[in-house]
Amino acid sequence: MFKVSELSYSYGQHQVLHNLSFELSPGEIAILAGRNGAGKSTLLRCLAGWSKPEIGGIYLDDRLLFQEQSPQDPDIIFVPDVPDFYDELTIWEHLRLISSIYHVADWEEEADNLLVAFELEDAATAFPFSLSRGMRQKLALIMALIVRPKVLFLDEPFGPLDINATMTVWQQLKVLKAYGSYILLSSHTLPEGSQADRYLLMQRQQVRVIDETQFDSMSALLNYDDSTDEDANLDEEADDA
Amino acid sequence: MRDLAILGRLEAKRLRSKLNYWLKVLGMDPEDSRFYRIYVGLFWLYWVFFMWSYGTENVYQISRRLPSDATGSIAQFIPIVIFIGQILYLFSVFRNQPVRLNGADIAYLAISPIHRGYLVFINLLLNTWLPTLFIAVVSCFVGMLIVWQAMPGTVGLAGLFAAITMALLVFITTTLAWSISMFRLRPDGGTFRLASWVIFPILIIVAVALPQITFFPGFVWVSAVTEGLTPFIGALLVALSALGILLLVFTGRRVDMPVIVEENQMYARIARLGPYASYYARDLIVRIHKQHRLMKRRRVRFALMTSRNNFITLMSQSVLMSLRESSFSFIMLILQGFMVTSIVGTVVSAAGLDKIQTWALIVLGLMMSRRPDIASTFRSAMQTPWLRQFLPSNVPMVLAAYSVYSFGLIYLGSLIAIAVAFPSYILTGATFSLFIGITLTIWQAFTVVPEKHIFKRELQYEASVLVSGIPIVAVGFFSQSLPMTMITTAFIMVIAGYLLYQSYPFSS
Repeated sequence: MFKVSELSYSYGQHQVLHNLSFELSPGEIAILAGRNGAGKSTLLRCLAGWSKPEIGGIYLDDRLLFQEQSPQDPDIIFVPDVPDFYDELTIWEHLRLISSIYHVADWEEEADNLLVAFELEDAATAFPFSLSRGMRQKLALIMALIVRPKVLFLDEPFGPLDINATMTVWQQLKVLKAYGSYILLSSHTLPEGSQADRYLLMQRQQVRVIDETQFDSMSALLNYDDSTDEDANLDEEADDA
Repeated sequence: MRDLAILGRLEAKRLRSKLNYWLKVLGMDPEDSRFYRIYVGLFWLYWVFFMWSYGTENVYQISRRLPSDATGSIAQFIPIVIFIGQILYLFSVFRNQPVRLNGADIAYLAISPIHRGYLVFINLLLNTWLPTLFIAVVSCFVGMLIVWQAMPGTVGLAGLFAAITMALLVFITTTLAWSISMFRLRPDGGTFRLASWVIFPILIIVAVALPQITFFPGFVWVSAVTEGLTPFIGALLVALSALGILLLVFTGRRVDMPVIVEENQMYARIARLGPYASYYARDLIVRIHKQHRLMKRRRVRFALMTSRNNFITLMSQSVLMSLRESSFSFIMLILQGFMVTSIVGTVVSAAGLDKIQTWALIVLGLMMSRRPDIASTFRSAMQTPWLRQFLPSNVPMVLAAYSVYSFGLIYLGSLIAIAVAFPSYILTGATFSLFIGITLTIWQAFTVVPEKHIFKRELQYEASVLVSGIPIVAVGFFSQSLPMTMITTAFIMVIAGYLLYQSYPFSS
């Protein structure tokens, strides 16, 4: 079980997360929705150990995380919305490096498969800075998937991706889910015809569980660009939930 | 000619806008009252006059102190300096084509049917007027220095002729160099592009065999300074300048513009950062240059070694990244260790450890020895949490693996310097150098790792060296004992290591 208990975080005087608690089950894909600035990215950063919460605990299989010497945990990978890479290493060398660090067996075959799946096989010898934003996002996802993390957090993974790549990501996440990984991604939308196991709404510094219907209606609202209406409607939705 | 007029008007507008900006920076806002603008103008005029007088006074004082035959030697040396300058400039435009276009130029001018020869010519004027002015001023001072002792009455005229002649020589050199560069960049110039490098050995052979030809520009300058600028020489220089313009317009007309546009993507990116980018976005500019180099350069045939042992994998990564950044990085690292140790050793042996200046120079030398960075790979990984999360959780091991290559080569250079220049101090020097090297590596790690106990933030490398240098200097200066100084250095190293180990992410 991945458990978040009474987590609080603030930027100076601005409280972003307040006594926030929720749980994820193994082999579960959870979607985290919420309007811009609600604190989704901050929450994911805290869960991944990139930011230190003021209070609260994060537990993986009853083990309190980020208490040992390392601030990050090798079981957890977080793919941010704008990942950066080593300028001097090619795509293939990035995969080679992290596969070696994680001691991934048969990494070359796995890397080949993922590159083909994400249509990056022709760019294997390219430097990441020469790629488009979508291709860099694909590389980041491949890097995360190749190490098969126990916990995977993704921040707006579908943003710069085309429809094919979005579907590929979802398929790969289902593969990872089959290994029993915990997967939490922030997104306003899901690929056509796909369903998550759990829907979470980030609102008023808290996370609430909502159902698929509410998520669908909320996605429509979040993609509606009038923020005042959006806030009001989201509040109603949350109250209903 | 119509295209030339259009480009001229466009650049005049841009120049006016730039001029307004810099005038505002100097305190002369066009919206200020006329009297205030006159006041600011007079202030800057006075400043220029004062600086000019200061420069002239210094030239006079130097000329008085020089032996009488020294100015003759300087005059003989000038043609060689000018020739070397010309060769180096030609080499630089061979390596990187000289036309500089910003984003707007690329978007509107480069793809337009405007005459490319005029575009290149205007670009030359814009890019060379400021360096030409600077070289002319320096040349003016050098000219005055040469004649001040022998012909004090003609110093002013000699300076003027030196400046004019040098400006024309620079113009002729740049137009010729740009013309050759543009000729190399014509669409069907592939073979010539490679073959044209032969010009450098040819020029050097000609310089040895026929110095009267290769050093002619220098002789012209010396003659203008010592004997005055004759109408014939003046006319010759103007004619050559005109010829240079024609040649440039002719060769520029057929230039392969897509190649120039491609080359200028990097400069356009840097130009977008604004006029002060070199101060506030230096790291970003360095990164843009690095990315451009990586794209252009042939990939180093060195595979990333991977192993079950993470230390070896990470060390291999740092070696590969270092070699990709510069193929000669390993030589540069050895040279850096060699040079810093040689300088420190020479200063110590020449001035002695009993002078505070010696110690100040040592600390200064260590502060300036930052580049190439010992822990650059560690820094780039630590600054990016996304990459850091893939690294092993043993951060001290990560730092050691990422630093061992650079550190090892710098230390090797240091050992070579000690063995060659100060063999009797090999053991002491090697130990001292090791302690200092480890301490510097730790200080470099603190540039990305916030120190937890004392400063509670990342530390500037130079500040760290200064802080740790003060106790070492104090102990060394007052005790005059090398063992005591070494013990202090070791103590500082241990303290720095402890502080680093206690800091995040070494310790949460």
